Amino acid sequence: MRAVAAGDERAFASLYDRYSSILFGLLLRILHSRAEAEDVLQEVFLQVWQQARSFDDSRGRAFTWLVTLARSRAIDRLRAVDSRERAARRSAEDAPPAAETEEPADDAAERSERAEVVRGALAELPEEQRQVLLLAYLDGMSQSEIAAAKGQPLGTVKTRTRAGLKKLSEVLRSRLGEFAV
Amino acid sequence: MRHEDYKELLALEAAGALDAGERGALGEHLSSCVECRTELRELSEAAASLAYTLAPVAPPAHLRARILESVRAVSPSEARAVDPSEVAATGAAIGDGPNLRPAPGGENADDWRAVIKRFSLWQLLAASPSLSFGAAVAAVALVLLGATTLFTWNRTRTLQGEVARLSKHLKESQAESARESEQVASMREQLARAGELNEVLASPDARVEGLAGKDVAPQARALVAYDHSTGRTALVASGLPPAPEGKAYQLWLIADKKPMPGGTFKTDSDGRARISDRLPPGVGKPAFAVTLEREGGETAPKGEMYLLSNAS
Repeated sequence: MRAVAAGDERAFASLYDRYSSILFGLLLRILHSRAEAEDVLQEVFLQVWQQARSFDDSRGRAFTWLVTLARSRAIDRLRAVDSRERAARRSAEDAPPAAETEEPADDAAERSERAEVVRGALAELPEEQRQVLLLAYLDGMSQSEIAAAKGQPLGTVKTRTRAGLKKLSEVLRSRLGEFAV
Repeated sequence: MRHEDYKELLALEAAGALDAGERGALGEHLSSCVECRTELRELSEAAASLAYTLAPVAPPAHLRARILESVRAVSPSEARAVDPSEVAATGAAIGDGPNLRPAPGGENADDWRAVIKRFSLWQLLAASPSLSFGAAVAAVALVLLGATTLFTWNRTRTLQGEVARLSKHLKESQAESARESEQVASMREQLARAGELNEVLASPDARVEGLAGKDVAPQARALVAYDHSTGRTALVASGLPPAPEGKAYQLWLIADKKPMPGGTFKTDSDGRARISDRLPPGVGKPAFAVTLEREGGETAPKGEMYLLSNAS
């Protein structure tokens, strides 16, 4: 990230090659629109380029920053679209093409290994906590949307989201000492 | 809210599940609580790791080319001028979610609630938004003075207007609930404290620098506005430990690595300080530092450094 902050285009391109597929997958899932996902991906990387200097790596990992950026922007876009339009998009969506990913092989292996770790950790959560956590984080649903969709009280959804993430964090940390992302 | 109550909000924030009201309240708390910031970081990392479980999808090749092309045109870490379309987009986010009601005067694109809603708190902590996300973000950062890693921007006339407008908006808005009125009152207070800052900002030659705490006071933050044509300076700081008896903090203007002495100050009971000062004018790329010196100040820095601008 420091190299990117210094204006190193190759470092930036590497960052793109390493993470764009993960981020794009997340954006597609939240936005259900390739066009919007492409726009947001571009915005995210532009922001990274511009803010790399102010990114403080003692405060968090680069991956976390990228994912959080991408997710925030996607949710922002999502909320700008009304719920009927959103539902229409969800049903109209074509299945995304299988990842003919240009991911460098090393990155693919590493990602896949981490995916296993996270899935394993998720499996330790009670079913209801896992579900609401994924709906909230990966699908970008608001707490009240989740409550409506699952017919649960809002308070229950919040409690489960909170407990689910706390548990995930504990399990990850105990499995890996420090989860190196 | 008790500390326990704030802690309860952390996991929801990291999961992206807080509404703007709760997020504003939590943001304030974070400005003075290292324990919660640390926990928020851990929870945010766990949340972000969920992204690994998704199947990656390669974006189209032309997008890569377009993105690389577009950054070539921009020098990295350059503060862009305010982009009106981005500011407008923020406004569109208002009014969604269970506990939110549209802000009074709804289409105010710079409503601070919309801004807080848009950025996760962890994001604000880890990497400061630049002016490219709208002057309202600058105003929010002023409010969350301790929570954000501050930022440098080239002042445009818009900023002064926006800070003034935000201040007016707060004065006029009806408190919709006890919790909101608490937040509004607190923001009003902080904006009043930043009033001197605002005056310096009135000059087209003003620059604002963010200062971050050194190891001795990692939670300390400050904003310094410096008018290079007159040397008029304003500083707003938070998170500084009280200066011991006989000592005071001193501001330094650093030009070409040479520190020039500014005024001395002490913090209030909240660990906050604001001063206005006159420093030597004419420094094009100013950097700033705050050290702890004896009460009368020094001509060259001798004491421990507490704050240093990010640009150094």
